[in-house]
Amino acid sequence: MLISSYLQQEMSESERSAFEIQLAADPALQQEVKMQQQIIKAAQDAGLKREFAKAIHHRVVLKRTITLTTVVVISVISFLVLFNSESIFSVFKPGKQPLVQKNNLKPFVDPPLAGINVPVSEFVFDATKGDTILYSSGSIIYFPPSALVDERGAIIKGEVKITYREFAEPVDFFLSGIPMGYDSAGVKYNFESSGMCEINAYKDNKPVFVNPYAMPEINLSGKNKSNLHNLYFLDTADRSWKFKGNDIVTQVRKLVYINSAATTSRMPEKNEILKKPVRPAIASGDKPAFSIEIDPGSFEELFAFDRLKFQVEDESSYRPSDADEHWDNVKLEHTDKEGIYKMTVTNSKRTATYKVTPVLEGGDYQAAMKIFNQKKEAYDLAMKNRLVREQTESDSLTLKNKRSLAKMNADKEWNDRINNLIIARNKKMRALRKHQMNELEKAAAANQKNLDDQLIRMEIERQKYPVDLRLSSEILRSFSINGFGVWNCDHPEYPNNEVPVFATFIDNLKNKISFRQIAVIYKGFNGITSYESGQIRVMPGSENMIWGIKDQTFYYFSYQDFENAKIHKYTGLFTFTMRKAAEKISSYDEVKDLVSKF
Amino acid sequence: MTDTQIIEHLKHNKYSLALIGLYEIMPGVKKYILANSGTMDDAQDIFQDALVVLYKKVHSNNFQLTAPLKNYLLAIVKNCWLHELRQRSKIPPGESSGEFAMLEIDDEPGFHLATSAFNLLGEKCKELLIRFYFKKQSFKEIAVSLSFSDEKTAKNQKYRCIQKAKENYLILSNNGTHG
Repeated sequence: MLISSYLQQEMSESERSAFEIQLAADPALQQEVKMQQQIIKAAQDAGLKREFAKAIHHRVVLKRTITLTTVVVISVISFLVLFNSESIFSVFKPGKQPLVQKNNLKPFVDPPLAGINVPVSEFVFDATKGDTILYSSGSIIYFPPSALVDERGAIIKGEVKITYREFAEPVDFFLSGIPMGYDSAGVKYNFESSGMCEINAYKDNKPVFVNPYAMPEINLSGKNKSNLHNLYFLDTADRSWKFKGNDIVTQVRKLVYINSAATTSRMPEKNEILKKPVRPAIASGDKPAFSIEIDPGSFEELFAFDRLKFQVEDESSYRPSDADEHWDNVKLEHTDKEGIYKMTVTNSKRTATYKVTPVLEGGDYQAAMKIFNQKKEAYDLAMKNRLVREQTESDSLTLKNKRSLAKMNADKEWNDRINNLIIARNKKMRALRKHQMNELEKAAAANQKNLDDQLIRMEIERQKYPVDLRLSSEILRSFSINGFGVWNCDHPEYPNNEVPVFATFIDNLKNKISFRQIAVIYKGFNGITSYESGQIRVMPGSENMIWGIKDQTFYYFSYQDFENAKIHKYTGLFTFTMRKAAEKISSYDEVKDLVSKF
Repeated sequence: MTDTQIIEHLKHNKYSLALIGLYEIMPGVKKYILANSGTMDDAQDIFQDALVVLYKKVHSNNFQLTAPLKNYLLAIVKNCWLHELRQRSKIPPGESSGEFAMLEIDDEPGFHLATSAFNLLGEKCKELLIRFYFKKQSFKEIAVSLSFSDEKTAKNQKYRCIQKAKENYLILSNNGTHG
């Protein structure tokens, strides 16, 4: 307490002098004071860092919220995010996804066991005709005709090779070395996957690319029907996951049935909404204004303008303190009046709503006017064309009816196509299983008197069961892809109950082990958290398992070991005695087999 | 936003407003960290560390800006990252980021240890110490916001948290976990 009083300058002059005399003579006390001083400084820095992290998070939330709001306001179809979010070609320009990392960078995708990975399947077809690939998990990958182009955008003809694999469970994520964390403004989330795959295409062993006008479609088979899961693409150039919108979740019943509601947003409407460009205004200078970044694809009438600000219209209702407030959520909406937007900011304490107008300053305004004039010209031309087209169309059907009909046809087309794919897939799967069962029955017949007979029959039953189970409770997650690589249907989970632990790993002979890679697995959560050092995070109160790899040898700390360890949130430092897999691992199946026993 | 405006925002603890100007260097930070053995997580973390250093520089008595603020912040980022790499024993001591070599960050012996010791505390302890030492809240305010029965309990709890942090510091120091 004395040290605290000294450091907090709460001592009287005489107390302070006495303490300082004592301090000068006592090295142990000096060390104690220094240690406490540094801890106080660490607390102050942590507070400051938190303020900046909040400000960064606020900035990003602001950006995201505006995108989401726009989705509601202008009814952008979630499935079409892929089409709208970025230039298609920017995703797969040669060289943007380096296969070999720069020398001084640790590989972003870093499989922990050399030579052991989730196996890849290969499919060959004529790219001109397209094909439907039926993967062993039940997933259906549809390639429309001419779905592939070369690096200059020319359509690929003739035979192409597709490589494809899926990552279904934690052991797959671990062996693949694919990072399963998602970072949003410095806040780290753990991905829970409901389906992840890697797809690539080659012509004469050279990579080829997706034709943006005929994109392949993946229908991932799985069990998790949560609609909280979104679609992400692994951008290996930027070393991060990129949000790509939503997938369509289809529940496949025993009798193939597609919920039409799930498909209503499947096809783009032919008559798109034309956004009238907004004439930019000059900032008044004396009115308060907020800086808000507009994401691509949202409020498209504003996006072309650089350094746009939103000026508060009615100052009488403006609270100056709102400029310094940390807002958790910001919503921007159109109003009835052209050029006027409604901005709503909220946090736990209050909600404020302002009518705002987009404004620009100085040179930004000049540049914006130039853009506006170009856009206005394009808009006027488009409106003129539309009027001509509508006039023609009104001769037969009303435009409204025609749109409804087009939409119904689009839905029906989608339903028919997916139904046909599922029927073909199921037929093929059943035939395959039937063939497998016949083979097993033959083996059983030949071994009637053998003691293993019963085991073989059990195997027949086991083989039969998953087919019916899969077809009765399957989920298909459907999405189009605008590039080749790793696609993941995920939900980023904030690990509320995780705590840090400074871990030391030893074997049963008490030798310290330095792992190349460590993974923590939470039972019931389809994801992993990976670490390269002993500073790991665990979740006390849940079932945790730890895997580590050193020199091609697999070590583990089982769920039971974790329970026995009684780790709690204040443990801080812990020594994990790792179990060593009996033998060196040499194949994917061996690892799967091993972890299934834990 | 001009450098002077950003500095004024920092001086008045207007973090969000200052960040509007400063976040522009984030692409440069990511590029630098990724090209120098770091990850995206490192880039976010180091950027926040650099903001803390900048804030402290701006609040120090002898602060004088002799270069564009964003260049200055990027130099801090580089120094923070070199410091972090040094902690991870990847580069020899002494190397600095060139033109702003004088920009020293907190690397007095033991400070990194204190930061780790603090980070190992439970969430409530960390919150309490931040409220007391950073936000300068009274024990009465802390008792209300962290649901302690009274000021005295909050004060005792603060003492226990400091003791726990010291304990962590000594364990880490004896284990040689940090330099």
